Amino acid sequence: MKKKILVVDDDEAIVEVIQLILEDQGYAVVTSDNGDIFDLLEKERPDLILLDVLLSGHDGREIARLLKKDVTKKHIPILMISAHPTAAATASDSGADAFLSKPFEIKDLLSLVSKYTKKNARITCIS
Amino acid sequence: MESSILPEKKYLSLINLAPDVFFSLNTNGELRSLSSSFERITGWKRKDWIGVSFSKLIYKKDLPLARDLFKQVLSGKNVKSCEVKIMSRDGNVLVGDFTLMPEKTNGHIVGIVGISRDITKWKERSNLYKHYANLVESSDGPIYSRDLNGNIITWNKASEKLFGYKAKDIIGKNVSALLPREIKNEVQELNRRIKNGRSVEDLELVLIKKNKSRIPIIAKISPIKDKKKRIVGAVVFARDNTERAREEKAEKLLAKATKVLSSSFEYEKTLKTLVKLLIPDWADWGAVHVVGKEGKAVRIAVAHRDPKKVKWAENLEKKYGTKDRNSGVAQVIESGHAGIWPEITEELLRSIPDEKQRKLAIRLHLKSIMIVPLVASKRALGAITFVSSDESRKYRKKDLKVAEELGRRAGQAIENARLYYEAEKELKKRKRIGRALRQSRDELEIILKNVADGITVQDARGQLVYANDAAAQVSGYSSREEMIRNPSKSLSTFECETENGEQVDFANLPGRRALKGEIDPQMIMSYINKDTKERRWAQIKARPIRDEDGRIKAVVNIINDITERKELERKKDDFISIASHELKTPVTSIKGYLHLLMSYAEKHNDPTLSHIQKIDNQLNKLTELIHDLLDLSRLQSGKLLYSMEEFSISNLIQEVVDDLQKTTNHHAIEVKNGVKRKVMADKDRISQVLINFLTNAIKYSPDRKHIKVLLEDKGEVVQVSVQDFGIGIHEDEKEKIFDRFYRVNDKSDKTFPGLGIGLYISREIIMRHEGKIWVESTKGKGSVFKFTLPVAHKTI
Repeated sequence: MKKKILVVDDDEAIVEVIQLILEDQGYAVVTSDNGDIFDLLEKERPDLILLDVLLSGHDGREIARLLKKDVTKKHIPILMISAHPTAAATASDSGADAFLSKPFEIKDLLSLVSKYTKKNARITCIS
Repeated sequence: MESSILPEKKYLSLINLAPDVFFSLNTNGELRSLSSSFERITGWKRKDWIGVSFSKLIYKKDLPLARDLFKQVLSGKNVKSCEVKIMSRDGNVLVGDFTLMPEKTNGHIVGIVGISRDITKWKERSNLYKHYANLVESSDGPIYSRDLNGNIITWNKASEKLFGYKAKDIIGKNVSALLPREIKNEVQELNRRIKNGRSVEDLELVLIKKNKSRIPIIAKISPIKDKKKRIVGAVVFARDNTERAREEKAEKLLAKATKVLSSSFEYEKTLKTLVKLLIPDWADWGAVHVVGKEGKAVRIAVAHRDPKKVKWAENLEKKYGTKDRNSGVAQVIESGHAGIWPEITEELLRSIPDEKQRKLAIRLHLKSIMIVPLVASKRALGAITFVSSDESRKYRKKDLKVAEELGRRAGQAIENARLYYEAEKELKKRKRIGRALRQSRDELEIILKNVADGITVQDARGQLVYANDAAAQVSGYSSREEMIRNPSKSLSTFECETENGEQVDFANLPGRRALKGEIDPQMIMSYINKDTKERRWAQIKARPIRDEDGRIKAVVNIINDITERKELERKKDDFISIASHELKTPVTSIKGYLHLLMSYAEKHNDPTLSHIQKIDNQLNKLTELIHDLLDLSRLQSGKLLYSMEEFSISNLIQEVVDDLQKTTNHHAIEVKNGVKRKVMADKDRISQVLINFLTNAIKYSPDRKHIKVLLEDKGEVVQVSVQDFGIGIHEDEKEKIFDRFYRVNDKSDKTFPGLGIGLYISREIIMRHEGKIWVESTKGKGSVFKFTLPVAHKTI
């Protein structure tokens, strides 16, 4: 079964290109251009969330924090993406598992995605 | 017997009451009767003496006299008031005044009757008077007496000596011979007092001697009374007051002189007044000479007893002058010692060798001369000349002493005057300078007042001594006066922070640091009003003000309100931050699409692949620029964060070089790297510096292929060098290239791309690591960029 990745970014172009790249690599991708992802999460149950820090209307860090507090969702790795220089620190503060600074190298994105989807697989396997 | 002498009894009792002694003797000299007073006066008992010879009563020395009297009376004579001394019972000698007469019976002398009065006390008094008279006569003090008409009654020897009159010549003459006319009124007043029985003491008078010269005396005058206490005359006790009068005259002169001398600093004027004081009590004429600028004595004042002669005396100087170095004045000034010629005799005058001077001296009627120096600070500034042409006034040593004192005082006055004028001149000069200073200070004040920057001045102790309006305003004061009054108020008004958000250490403000000798200290701080929470920014620079010896005597603080600048900077930082963020987002998606394109082209062996790769390269450069811009913005706002870790610098170099080598085909990067040391640093930042050095080396050596990287162990530090063989850097530019936005321009007008911030960021990074960064370069031959980093010290 394909690993499912939720891409959350308010920039359409980014959402689209990431979706294309990941799908090209054999991942299933669901997207959201805003922070209202809780319903979506219930429905889709992604293996990894790519979360932009600055979302119009929502703060990615706040979403990450909420997710990590939720027993049913805290196992989902969060890869935080931001153009903001200080985001790396706040990302780990808010409980994100990894951080990727824009603009990133695609290979870096792919290696992180691969790393966290495998990790998750192992955990689910154990559970 | 009693009945025959005193036939009536009633007289007998009267006789016994009388103070005198009544007695009778027989022809043998034996006492026949004695009245009762005998017992009271002599102390003897009458009954013991009846029938005893009178001679037993008589004082031995008077016995011959008594016997002689006895015989005379027996021969029929009467004796009246004869003094005979007798012995009293207690051994005292009593003086009796005896009156004797023969007692006759029928024409025959049968005895003697007599009366004796005890005059012992009276005699004693009389002797005392004699004694006093002797005393008066032999007294050193002149004593004379006069009756109410002024006729002289007594005149003792001392009076003879003092006034020159012999007693025999003056007694009986009127006292007015002694009294000068001018004191007539005073004498009348005196006489009135005497007639009223009052005495006068310490009366100072000048009397006339026989030789017509005057003599000052101090007198005590007491009235003389007769037995009935009527005033009959006066006795005058005189004392020669010449010395005292002389002293007083001297005191008067010196007191007056002092008053004159201290009245004004115009010493020529005061000396002119001074010389007039000498006339007539001290001199018949006098002169003052003062040493002028050329060192010659110039007479500046002259006075003469006869006002008509002043002009004449003034002209003398012109004629004869003191130009002659042998003149008395010149000698006194030169030697500084006074000269005195007490008595100038005619012979002396005639012996003057110079004819002119001799004639002059004779015409001047010189009798006595004194010349004293005007002394100040042991220097003779001039001389005062005292001339007496009066025979009766001869200067003596005591006069000279007074004159010398006058000279000293006058000298001091001249000196004071000179000092005063010098001080005044200096004062005027200072006033002039002061005015100029004040003027420039006022101008400066206006400038300082209107300067937008706050300016304060602290003294050497750090105390605030000046503040302009801007400084007061910046510091939250209503006026600069308030600021100077209460300089610590601002501390309670504001919370102060450094640029890094730390509390400001007030002991470390630039002013304090400048006082400690730090060169050009400055500080940027923000201060937040505790009430309004308004934050403002100030840049404080301090500069020392040094005195002539180079010691710091004050510090000027220039306080620049940089709030607006800070605000602009903040906006700019925000802008750059947002801009770079906004730039990054499209770059990210472009990169993504390029990735897709590339994998597509690779799959299908599409010839556009190389184009796509070039787009990717350019995009990477764009990304770097965006990173640099962001770093710069973060450096500016102090937000560049470092995450320190221990790592091998050698490995890092190798990684960076390997990565970069891939991006360039043209250059070969050679690494000499044998050092195995670890540093504690931010790995990403250090690699950023390395990349900067290497990309610069590549960029600025387009025609060369070789780049050398060298890592050296320098003990406490490791040193990294990146050497190229390119265009090099001009000496002038070696510092500037580390500045923000600075770019090296080649003379060949070849421009090099870049923002010119790479080295600036590198320097900031290395400095934050407490390392050093610099460049060694020769124009046209290439550059070596170097940095050092402290090696990590292993902690246990």
